[in-house]
Amino acid sequence: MSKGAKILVVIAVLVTVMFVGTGLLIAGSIVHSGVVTVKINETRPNGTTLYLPVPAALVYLGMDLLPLVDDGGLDELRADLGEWRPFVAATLEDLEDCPDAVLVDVRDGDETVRIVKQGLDIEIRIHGADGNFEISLPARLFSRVARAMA
Amino acid sequence: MSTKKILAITLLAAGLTVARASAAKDNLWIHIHVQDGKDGKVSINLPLSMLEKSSAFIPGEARSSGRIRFDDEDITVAELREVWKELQRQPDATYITVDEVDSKVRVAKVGSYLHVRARDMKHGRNENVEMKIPVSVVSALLSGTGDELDVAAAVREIARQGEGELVTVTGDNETVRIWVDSSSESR
Repeated sequence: MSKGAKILVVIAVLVTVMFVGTGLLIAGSIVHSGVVTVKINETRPNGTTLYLPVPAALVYLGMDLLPLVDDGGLDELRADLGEWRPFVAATLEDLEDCPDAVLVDVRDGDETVRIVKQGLDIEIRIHGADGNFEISLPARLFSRVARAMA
Repeated sequence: MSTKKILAITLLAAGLTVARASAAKDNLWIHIHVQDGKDGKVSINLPLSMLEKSSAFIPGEARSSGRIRFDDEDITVAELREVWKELQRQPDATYITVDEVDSKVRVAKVGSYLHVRARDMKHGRNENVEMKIPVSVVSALLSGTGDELDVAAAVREIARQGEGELVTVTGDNETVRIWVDSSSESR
């Protein structure tokens, strides 16, 4: 094999390792941290239809970086919650250990709002005449929010 | 069978019973169900253990509700605590009876339960309130000091009491039910 071909093979191996490594890293982070998914399905003509899965690791990263760019929003939230902050934080933290169930179910005519604990996720499902909106968040995310608030 | 074997089996059975009771307590759920008219409904289902942990963090401001309105008169929590202490020493009986044209109230101590029944017909309403609260839960709620209600102690006591109906309010168009059971779903 010529020297040029050897260099090409090494580059090809490096690129493959990089791609496979990145793929494995993403897969690992999804398995470990879960996925945040947003589903929007508006029933009106030309309404929005969206399915957006985001690895929760990215959300965690955003939360970790938030104090660096935050201009007091977190402090404002803490101030708004006032004395209720420890109560809200404790409730959010406990969601992770909560068994599977429909925690909140609100029906008003044709509209329903459900907050469901399913496996490792908390799902918020809003169904109405205008369409359906669903967001699924890893329950662990709420613990992180609780810790950020505390 | 030897005495040692009998003792060992008895201890094992007792241990299993305690473990089962503890597990059952851990699996209790508190349900709040509000039916408003035909189309409105709110159901909240929470593990009692979760409420038990969180209630310890209820801020002092909310715990010290200060006053409870009863038949158009304000009673402080401290006053209520004194009345309750006295009431606990008394035998089972109906202690409060209000019998007016547009409102009726009956508060009775029956065994280990406090029964509260109220009917409000003021301003064309027809609202019924029925509460069956374990005496120990009321005692726990009033175990705080000053004008503070000890909500966390009351929730702990509800968990200790196990399954049961706590509050039912029925109005013209709405019903409110609060109960504890081992199912995660409202029934």
